[in-house]
Order: sequence, then structure tokens, then C-alpha cells
Amino acid sequence: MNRIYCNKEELKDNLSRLLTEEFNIPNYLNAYDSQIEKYVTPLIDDITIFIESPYVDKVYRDSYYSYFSSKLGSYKRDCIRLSFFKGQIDLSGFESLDGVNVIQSRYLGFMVLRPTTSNMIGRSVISPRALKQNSFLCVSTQVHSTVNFVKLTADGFPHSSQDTETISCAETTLWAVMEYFGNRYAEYKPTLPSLITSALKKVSAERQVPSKGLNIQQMSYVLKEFGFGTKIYGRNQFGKSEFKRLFSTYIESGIPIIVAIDNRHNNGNIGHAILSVGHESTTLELIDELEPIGVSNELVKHKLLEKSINLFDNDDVNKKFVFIDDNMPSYCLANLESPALHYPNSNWHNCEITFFIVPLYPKIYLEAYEAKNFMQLVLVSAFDLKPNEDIFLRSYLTSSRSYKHELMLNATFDSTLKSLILESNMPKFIWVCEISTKDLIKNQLADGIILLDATEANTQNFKPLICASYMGSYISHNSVSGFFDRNNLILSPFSIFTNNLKGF
Amino acid sequence: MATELNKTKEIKARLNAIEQVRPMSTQSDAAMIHAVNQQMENVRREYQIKERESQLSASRVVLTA
Repeated sequence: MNRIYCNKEELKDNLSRLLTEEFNIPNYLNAYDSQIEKYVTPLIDDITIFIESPYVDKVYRDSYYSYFSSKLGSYKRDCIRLSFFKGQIDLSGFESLDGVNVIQSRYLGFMVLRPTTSNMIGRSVISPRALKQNSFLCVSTQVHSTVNFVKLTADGFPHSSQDTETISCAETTLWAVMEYFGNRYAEYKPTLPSLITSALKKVSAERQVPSKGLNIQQMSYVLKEFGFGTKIYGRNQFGKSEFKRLFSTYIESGIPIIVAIDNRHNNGNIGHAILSVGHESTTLELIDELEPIGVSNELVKHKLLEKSINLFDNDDVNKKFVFIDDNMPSYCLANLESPALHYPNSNWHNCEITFFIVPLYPKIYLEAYEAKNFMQLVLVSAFDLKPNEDIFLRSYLTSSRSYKHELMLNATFDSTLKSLILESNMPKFIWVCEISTKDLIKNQLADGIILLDATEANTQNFKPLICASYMGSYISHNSVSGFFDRNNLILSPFSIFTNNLKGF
Repeated sequence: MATELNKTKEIKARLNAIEQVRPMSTQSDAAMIHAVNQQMENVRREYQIKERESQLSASRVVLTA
């Protein structure tokens, strides 16, 4: 068994030697330079690495036993694992509880190297803290691992490169989604490449291995089989602006979404699946640059014109999004208009996002398009809006449990309205619309709120409305009279909810 | 000693006593809700077409790279 502890400068020599010894990769292939270096370069300089081999990786072993071992050629079955730490660690710390606590606080995740010579990067969970550039917000999950025989927990978003035979970009993306949800929520469980193949068995007319990729509908089907209520959104079908807003709404909701990028409509031959898991922080400049939305709904348009009100949507903020791409290191930042501009191969540069798939909790029956339209209609119809105002809307999904937890701890929220909202009956997931202005939102404040029941797809007679508060009115359903009640209660500016992505 | 922690009952009673609660049951309230209903009916129809077309189109896009 090999256990090597080294710093970033010493990694190349130590790892190159191990790659030759463990994987029989000849030196002339320069495996480190061609494959591993681009994953190490973005890491902070003050990082140390613990290298362990042989390592039994559950994902690669699944591919090995279901595919590679059935070939004539000889394939290795063990992997090498790199574990990352901030700064130097005291190796004697592994032998005491206090020492392990210190090591855990410095632990920045792991990366597995597979013996698949041309695509070696396997299962990885790297913390954004390990990166030089980490001024972004994203969802993450905790994954248990061991280093030097001691149990540690890595916090980050799962990543892997494709091996091109058992997993292409499509299967890798599905694996990463399930690895995230399975490690984070009890309702789901992590999956393996062979289980993704099995899930598609009933609907495949041809063999599935070696993988030749999946179409978007097949990917959506697999997620449905794994317990999600998936939704597909197409750019041409929803229109460029609306498509971008819906994309942003789901990211703001803290839901990782599967993104299809392709350039076939631009005479290319690329079709690729990646994940979007967050966005860069919203700066004051980005808010200043924001233009009012072009409202398509006739009633909303009429009411806004009547009072000369400009409506701004947080989802129009021109921010970069965080992508998990199996051809790139974890957490790539890119604009929605040019998601592959950072690729060294210019053939990729004209790729565009054409579809995205949202893995929703199956009982979220009210999706983003209808929810956002409904929230705008409630805003302009149920409240007496001030003329010549600039209104800024921020919409997202969240669990009522998280929302109530944060609301209970929010010292800036009016105490009377806080009690009324906290004591309202809510489903597992709710839609939230925070009503603010450009000036207020720069301080992460809002002065109005609309809460919707995400399990209510019937939008007639205000059925999804749980409560709303703005312009001195609090509207909530009165179960005795069957009508909504309008209470005269003033909601002063309060700190917005930032729990989904742990920031704004 | 047990303590009941239902503030909603107390707040609503207080608001009712000072006439700060109004049921949304007037003609204008009904007209407002009816107008929203009609708009949402259009939104729903638009969404159903976009959703269906997204699904159909998605089946033709293969992701391999």
C-alpha cells in the first residue's frame, strides 16, 4: 500500500511514478501533464495532498465488473486517491480525536484517478474553498470518505470525467445529480453507471454499452425512474429571455439542473450535457445595469403602464453561472449565452444552451413558469401599488422547513407578521417571491412577500396563495369564511432569504 | 406549567377588535380574482404548448461529447 503526503510542487513527481507503477502508464504519455495538471492548477497554492493507492472506488469498480472485465485486454481494477488539505497537516494528528478535528477543518475533498488511461479523473468531491477563484455561490453535499484510515467528510459538488465507454457526458451528469441528492436527502440514493444503464433497459431498442450518449428525453426518464418529478424546458419553445429567467429561478432555488449545450443548429456536431449548480455573487454594478422586464401578460402590462411602474426581475441579472462539466475541472464559471467559450478547442465556442432538465421533488406540481406569472398577477392585482415605483422581484422555491427556520431567526422581520407566517400551514415546498426595489436589494433587503403552495397546480381563485404582504396589507386565507382576509399590517424592510445558495 | 404558543389567534382577535381586517368578498374583489383567473387560464394554455413542444424536441437531441 502506498501512502504519500506531499505539497503541490512535489505532486507531479510522486504521482507520475505511481501512475507508472500502479496503472502501467508509460512515462512517454505524460499522463500528469495531459490530464491531471489542469485539475491541480486551479487549486490554491497553500495546499497539501495525501496520495493513497491501491484505492477501491465504488463507481469505477461498477464499470470494471459490468464492462471492462469482460474484455480480452487487461484492465486494472484499483484506483489512486488524492486527498486535499489546506496548508500543512500534522500527520500525528490522525492518531488523536483532537488532531482529527483539526485535520477535518483543513480537509478540502478528494479526487480519484481511474486506470482508464485516456480519461483518468474519476469520482471527485472538491470544496470550493480549495480553489483560487471561489467568489461564487453553489449547492454542495457532504460525502463521507477516509484518509489515512480515518473517517472524514468532504463538502462539495460531485464531479467525474467520462470514461467514454460505460459513461458518456449524459450518464456522468446523471450520476453526479444522484450523488448530490442521494448524499443530501433521505428520499434519494446515489447511483452507479450500471444502474443508469438498467433504468433505460425497458425503453432502449439497442445495446447501451459501449455508451453512445443519451438524448434529453432518456435523461429525463432516468431521473423520473430515480424518484424525481422532472421538467424539460426548451430555449426555442419558451423564448430566449423566458428560458434564461426560468433557468435562473431554479438555480436561485438551489436545485442543480442538467443543461444541454449544442452547436448543431450552428452547423457543428457537438451535443454535451453539463450541470449548473450556482451563480457568481450579485454585485451592486450588476443590479445597476439591470433593465426593466418586458412583460408579456396583458393585465400585468396594463397595470404597470397605468402607474408608470418599472418591474425588475432578479433572474435578468447578467451574472455568470457555475457549471460542473465532465471535460473541465469542477466549478467552471460561464455566461448563459456562451457556456463553452472557455474551451481551448474553438469548435466548442458557438455552443449554446438549448434545453435544461430540472429534477424536481415529485410533489412540486406548480412549476416556475406558472408560479412566476401568478406571482406577478397577485402583485399588480391584489395590492394598491405606488405610482412611478421601481419594483424588484426575486423568486425561488424552498422547503417550508428551511424558510420557517430562517424566518424564525430573522431579527429584521416584523414580529407580528413573522408569527402569522410561521404559524401558517405550509406544504413541504413553497414558492417565494420577495418584493423589493433596486436600492433595497443592494442591501439585501425586501419590503414585501408572496408565498405560494408548490403542491397546488390549480391557479384559479388564488388557490396556491398561502399569504402575501406588501404596501401595508397582509392577505391570507380565512378557512372559516372561505374568503381571503386583508389585514392592515405593515411589513418594514427585512433581510432576504439566502439559505438556498448561502448568499445573494 | 403549560404555555400555549398560538400567536395567530391573539393577533387576529386584536386586529378584528380594531377593525383592521376586511374579508375580500366585495364585487371588486370578485372581479379582481376573476381577471386573474382568466389571465392564468391563458398562461396555462401557453405553458402546456411550450412544455409539450420542449418534450418532443428534446427527444431529437443526443448528448455524447
